[in-house]
Amino acid sequence: MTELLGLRDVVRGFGGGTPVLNGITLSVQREEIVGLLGRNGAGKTTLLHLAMGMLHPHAGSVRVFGLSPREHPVAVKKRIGYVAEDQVLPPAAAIGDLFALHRKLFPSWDAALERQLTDRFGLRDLRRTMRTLSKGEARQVALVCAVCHRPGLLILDEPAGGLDPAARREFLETSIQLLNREGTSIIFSSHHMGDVERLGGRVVLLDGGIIRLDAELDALREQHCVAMIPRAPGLDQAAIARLPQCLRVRTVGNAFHAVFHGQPELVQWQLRDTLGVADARCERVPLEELFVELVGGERQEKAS
Amino acid sequence: MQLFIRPGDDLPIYRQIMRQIMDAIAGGRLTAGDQLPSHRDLSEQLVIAPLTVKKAYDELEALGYIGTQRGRGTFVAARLPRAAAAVQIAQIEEAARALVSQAYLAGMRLPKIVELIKDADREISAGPTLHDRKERNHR
Amino acid sequence: MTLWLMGQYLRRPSVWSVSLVGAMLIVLWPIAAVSTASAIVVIQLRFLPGRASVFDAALPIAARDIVAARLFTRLLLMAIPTIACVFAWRGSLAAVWPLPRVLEIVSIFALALLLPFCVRPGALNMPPHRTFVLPFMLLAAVSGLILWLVPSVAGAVILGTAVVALVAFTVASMPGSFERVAYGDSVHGASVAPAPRIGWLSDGAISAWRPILQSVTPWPVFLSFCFMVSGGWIGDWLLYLVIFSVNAHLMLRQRTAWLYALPLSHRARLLALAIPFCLSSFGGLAIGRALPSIGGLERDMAAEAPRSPFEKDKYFSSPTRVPLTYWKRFPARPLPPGATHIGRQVEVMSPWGESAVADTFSILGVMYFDPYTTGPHSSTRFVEWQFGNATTAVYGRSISRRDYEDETIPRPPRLVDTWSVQLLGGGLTVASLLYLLLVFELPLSARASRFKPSRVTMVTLLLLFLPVYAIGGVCMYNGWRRGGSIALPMIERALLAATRALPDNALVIAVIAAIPPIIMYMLLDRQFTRSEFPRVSPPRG
Repeated sequence: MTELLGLRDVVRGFGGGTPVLNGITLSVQREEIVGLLGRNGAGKTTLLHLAMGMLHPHAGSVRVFGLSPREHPVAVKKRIGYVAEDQVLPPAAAIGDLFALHRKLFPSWDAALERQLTDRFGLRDLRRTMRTLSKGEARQVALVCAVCHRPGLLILDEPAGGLDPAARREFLETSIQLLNREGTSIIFSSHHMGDVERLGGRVVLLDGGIIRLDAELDALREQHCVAMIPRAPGLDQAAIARLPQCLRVRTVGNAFHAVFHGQPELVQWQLRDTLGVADARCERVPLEELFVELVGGERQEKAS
Repeated sequence: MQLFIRPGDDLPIYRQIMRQIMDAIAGGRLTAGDQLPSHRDLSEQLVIAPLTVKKAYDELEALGYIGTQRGRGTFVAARLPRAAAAVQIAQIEEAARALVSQAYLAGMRLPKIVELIKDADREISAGPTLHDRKERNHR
Repeated sequence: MTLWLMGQYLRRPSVWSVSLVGAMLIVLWPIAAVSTASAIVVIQLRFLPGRASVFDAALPIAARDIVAARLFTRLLLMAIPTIACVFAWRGSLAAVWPLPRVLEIVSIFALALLLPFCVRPGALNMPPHRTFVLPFMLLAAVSGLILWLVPSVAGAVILGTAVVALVAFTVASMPGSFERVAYGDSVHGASVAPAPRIGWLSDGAISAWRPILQSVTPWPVFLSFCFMVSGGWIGDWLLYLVIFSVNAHLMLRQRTAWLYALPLSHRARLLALAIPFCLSSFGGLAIGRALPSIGGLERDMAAEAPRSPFEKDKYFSSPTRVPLTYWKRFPARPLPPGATHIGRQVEVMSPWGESAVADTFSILGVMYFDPYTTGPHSSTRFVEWQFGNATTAVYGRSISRRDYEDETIPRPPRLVDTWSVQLLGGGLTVASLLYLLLVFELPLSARASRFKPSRVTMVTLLLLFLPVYAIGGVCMYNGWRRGGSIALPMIERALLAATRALPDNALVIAVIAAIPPIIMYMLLDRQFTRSEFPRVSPPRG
């Protein structure tokens, strides 16, 4: 059984209306890294909560390590590590107490790793309570609690949210060390594209309740390009959208930005050939630009 | 030798690693038989995923620049790949023609082009410095 | 500016609605003024934010104005129930407490309400709880002394002045602007020289469960415990149960959200939520009832004072007053000896022919009458006879009036205080507590998340609280007519009837008492397997 996490046609909503997740199929194998991208409210946290068993799907099935998190919650949680941006560990709890609690709940706790990580993070006084820690230190405590039992799957929900760049880098270093030494799979959601690019692996884009993209990061960057087409009379958004391999068109000021699957030169040729557009500019772009072009809003130029 | 990657760059990270290693080999900073860091070490040093490093190494190995020996590590290949001399010269001539044409279109004159070439030589021989890369990206 | 701010605060319905409801309750049940007022105090602590928020502090308004506005708003909200108290006093409260005493109590409550915000008023963030222990102890000591030693009028004046002085002093001593203060332990931040590593030596079970213990005992739990003790002691605890336990439970939910990520079984979570809730409420109640009451009231036949003008005359004129618990239903089968009815009047007749018109009271069309009534013109013999009947009903054996009023002869415990009734009542109380938990758990199930949260709340409240509301509404209305609570007496009636029907075996009664809580627990257990991570609104990340 190499599939660690499997969601099949999962549907989940809140309070009627359009479901937040509307038919999601996702699979995470051993030693894979999957990055979840999406705008705020796109359903990344919902998906991760479903994986943890903290929410139940309205339709579809969720399997973690082959088990259903709803029927075997304890067995599933014992093999998962979880860090979230909004995880509120009890403010009055001492760090040492939290470690002792996790030591008791997770039989596979590694005390040597705990000591190594606390030394590395500089968490020396274990009697300090959570409310006296800075955001970065609290997140580090959560990370130690999540990784010391050598989980097979690490679920990170915007783990670097609100952290300063140095703290983010440390978090990343620890994750990569874990990946190297334990072969842990990681599924994480993040808004920091730099971190997503560093961690590599697969990128999954959630938008409108479905998965818009699910591809290896490098393939994504190399096989997609963005075309910037100045507006012209007789050229409308729909015509561009109808082209094959066009993923999305949006209006930005007095130009159209379109995301295409394909090489920039081919796309440029296709634009000239099909729509007679001669002054388009096609480029491969970094992940952040790709993200903005795929899910960003329209920006109309004010009529001057 | 020190590698340096930028996540937001135009090139994917594994290509940046490939480019820098190839430049180092070309500039003589890496010679045949030099050992490269392992996947784990390089990934922890650059804070990137080990699979990315593996991808870069695999591509370089396929091109013939490096080779892995079981149990001993990854080394720069003893004999670097050489395409047929004629083909290589033709490729370089074509690249030169494209370079000059593009530079003239951009309004550059010959002395400036020569300066550009000298800068590139310096970069390859000495390794990329922060200053060079910044300037290049801002131009 | 201050007035404008006050207007802004008062615009929030959650703030003034509590005051109005409290005032209404005080008018309806003057005797419950103390419990209602204290409930109001505590609820306002929750709803009206104390210190300024960061948003307020960033506005171009002087900090002094903000603090003044908040303090005055609080005083105003206290004033509404105070006026209600004065109004109620003109009714029957004067029989129990003179007006100056009422004002004293109100002032003490006002001081208690204002005190947390007068300690270090310039600080933007609330000081740690331990800072308040000393001021509150001081307040309790001083007010106790004033209540005991100083005559009421002087005491009311002193305390009233204290309130005004406290407000004035706080406002005057405000610095120009708010300031975030770092309290207590080491603030975060890397120390320059790395301290020696302090390991965690006590690896035992205690330290491991301490974080969970800390999460399930926030301050409302202790508060609920204290109020349940006092409620059990006074004998009027239903209101406390609903308000304080629910309050504590809601906070418990927030603070135990982190447990959902840990590999704890649903049963562990259920116990973590249910045990502090039940212990603080039920345990407090049990302790309160076990405490000796004022003046040995627990042995009185009718341990209740008149609650409204309607009852006053009857209360003091009839020596054989018994609470509703012992009234009989009409028509009752069999009729108690000598009871007949003519039209809507019930007459109680003694064996030798003397009769008296019984007090009647009808609830939902069912008429209850007091079989031990004595009229103003009844003979001594009739009164003695009825007294014997009443004490038989209340104590299980007949006591003569002379023996009853003789303070040296100890009275036997009332039938409602015997262990069998207490056991059954205890079982019912625990079952109700678990029922409350169940009601709160239902909206958290996956099925409920398909609907809009507001609709879910409405449906839950309607379907499950409907019986409670219905009963509560009937009780309130009829209680107002009667002048006292009817819920507890009716429950006691049912319990007494149940103990009469059951055999006198301790084991049997214990088993039967345990059945409702067990059923509720099983329902809860099943519901907890379906419940999800509690969230206020869909995740936004």
